[in-house]
Amino acid sequence: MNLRTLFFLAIKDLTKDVKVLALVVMAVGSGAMAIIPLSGLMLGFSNYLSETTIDVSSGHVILSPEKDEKLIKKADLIKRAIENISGVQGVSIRLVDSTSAITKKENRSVLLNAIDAASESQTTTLHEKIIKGRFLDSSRKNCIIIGSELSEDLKVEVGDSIAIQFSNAQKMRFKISGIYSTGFHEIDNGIYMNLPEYQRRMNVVNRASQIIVRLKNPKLAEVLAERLREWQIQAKVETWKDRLRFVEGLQQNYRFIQRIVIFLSIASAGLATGVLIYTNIQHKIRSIGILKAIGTRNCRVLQLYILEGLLIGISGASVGNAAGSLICSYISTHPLQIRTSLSSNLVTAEFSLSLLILPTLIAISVTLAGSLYPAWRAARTNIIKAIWHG
Amino acid sequence: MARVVLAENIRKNYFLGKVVVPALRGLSIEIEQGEFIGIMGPSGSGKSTLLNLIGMLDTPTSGSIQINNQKVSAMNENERADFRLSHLGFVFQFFNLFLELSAIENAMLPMMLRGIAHGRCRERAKEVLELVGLAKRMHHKPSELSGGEQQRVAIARSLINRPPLILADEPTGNLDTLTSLEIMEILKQLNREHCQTIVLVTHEPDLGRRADRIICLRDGEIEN
Repeated sequence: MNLRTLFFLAIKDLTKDVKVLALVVMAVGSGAMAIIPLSGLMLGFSNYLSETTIDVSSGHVILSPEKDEKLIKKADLIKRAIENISGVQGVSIRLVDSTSAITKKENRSVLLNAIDAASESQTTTLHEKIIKGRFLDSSRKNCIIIGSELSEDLKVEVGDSIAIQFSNAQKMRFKISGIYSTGFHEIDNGIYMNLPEYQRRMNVVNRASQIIVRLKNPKLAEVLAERLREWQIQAKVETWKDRLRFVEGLQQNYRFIQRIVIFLSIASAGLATGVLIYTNIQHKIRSIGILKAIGTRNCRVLQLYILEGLLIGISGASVGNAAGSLICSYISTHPLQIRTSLSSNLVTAEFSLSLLILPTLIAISVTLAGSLYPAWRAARTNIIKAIWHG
Repeated sequence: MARVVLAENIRKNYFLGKVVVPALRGLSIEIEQGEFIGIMGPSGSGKSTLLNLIGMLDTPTSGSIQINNQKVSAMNENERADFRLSHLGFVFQFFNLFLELSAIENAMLPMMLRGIAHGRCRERAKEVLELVGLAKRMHHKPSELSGGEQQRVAIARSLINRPPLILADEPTGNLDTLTSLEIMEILKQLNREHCQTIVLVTHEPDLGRRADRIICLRDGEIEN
């Protein structure tokens, strides 16, 4: 029996009851379908986390104080040296302070970042996240920008004044020039002020809590980090990937749970396939006997029913992939609001062909596995019993 | 005439637990090309067992069977399947057609199993369906055919690979008298005009008498 005859018989057998076949294909397909938008959303969400963290917080390479040190020394010198490296788009010095934001009714502990507005605009996109008012300007004194969540908590608006008590107990009033929103709870509960003003008031010169670097080509982050480590600066050098290890961990955990759920859902579809083929075999045991009587080898009968399982798997995967891709494409144009402990944002699903590999493999392997036992039973059918007692 | 079947001292025992039930007790027969043999006998005489052994659907407990001068009783399972495909044609009592296939697809199936091109199979299937008078019903499914028509399709299927031997096990057992006579006439015609060797199992004396030679079985032995 050649492959064409095998296909002929398998397709004729499968399509004799189109409704049942459609239900089984849909069952397999629904398992496969669920994977694609979920994976697409996960990809979109992790890419969103990475990009936003780089954009508003970490840059591509981050220098932070070494262990047991509070600040990086010779920060201005380091900044200028890094700026001279080709491929560097921007370098920003940040001084971070634990402060209290005080209004008449509220008193909140907040993290304050002192930044140089011009350098920061070349390094991060924080200036693009302003939703009310304007970004920091080094020429305007006593101004701050605050996160949207903090402004809601403190019930303050652009133009209002709030008191900031610094870590050295010094207390000053600042006018809110702008409110920003990044989607990250931690950042949106913070305050930014001008670096020179902070340095002057706190008498901290040529020091930094962080130096962040943005590259024209993000892929060169590791190369730059290695180069900076070779300089033997008294600072810890990390790339954005080091900083975002938690996202990777989050992804891994998610993928693990996702695979279990998907495997279980498709396994039940595989079981349905197995039951379909098994029931089919039970009902046509006489036909199998005849097929063998007229000269079909046992191995060909085995191949026939495995092929049926394979065809169900391929059809299910195709239907599931098509439907999943459509849902994924819909979510990519209609973002979902995803709230986590880290952020609350509209996230789109990102589609890539690699997302189709896993559902296809799972659907085919599970339906194949589901067809093995019935196929084996069919191949072992006793011809005489099947024909005369089937 | 060439010898098509030579069965020598064949025995077939079945086991009911530890009890041995002999179905055939050292039976020998010889069938020549172009013969129309009728195997008759009461129920339990061993007619179907003999047909199953000649048809290589079962193996004898002892003795040897040769078909076309090949010792088929010594073949393994795959060799037996290949031999059945190319040398034997089967017609069963319950027609045993594939319900999802049309008449022409049922008829061409054994030829397709040999790996022959679809187009050639279809042409040959048309020929054999015309031979059994079913040219106008070839695209109908078994459920759309009468019992007689279904049995004609089964005969066409048995002929498609031009086997030297056709084995028919009660082919009219499920048909009315008139249709039974029509089916017998088709088999007789094939035997007469195409020199087709046919072994027919029946318990109906009227039909058995149409055979060239009758082998009567009783208790697993040849009676006459």
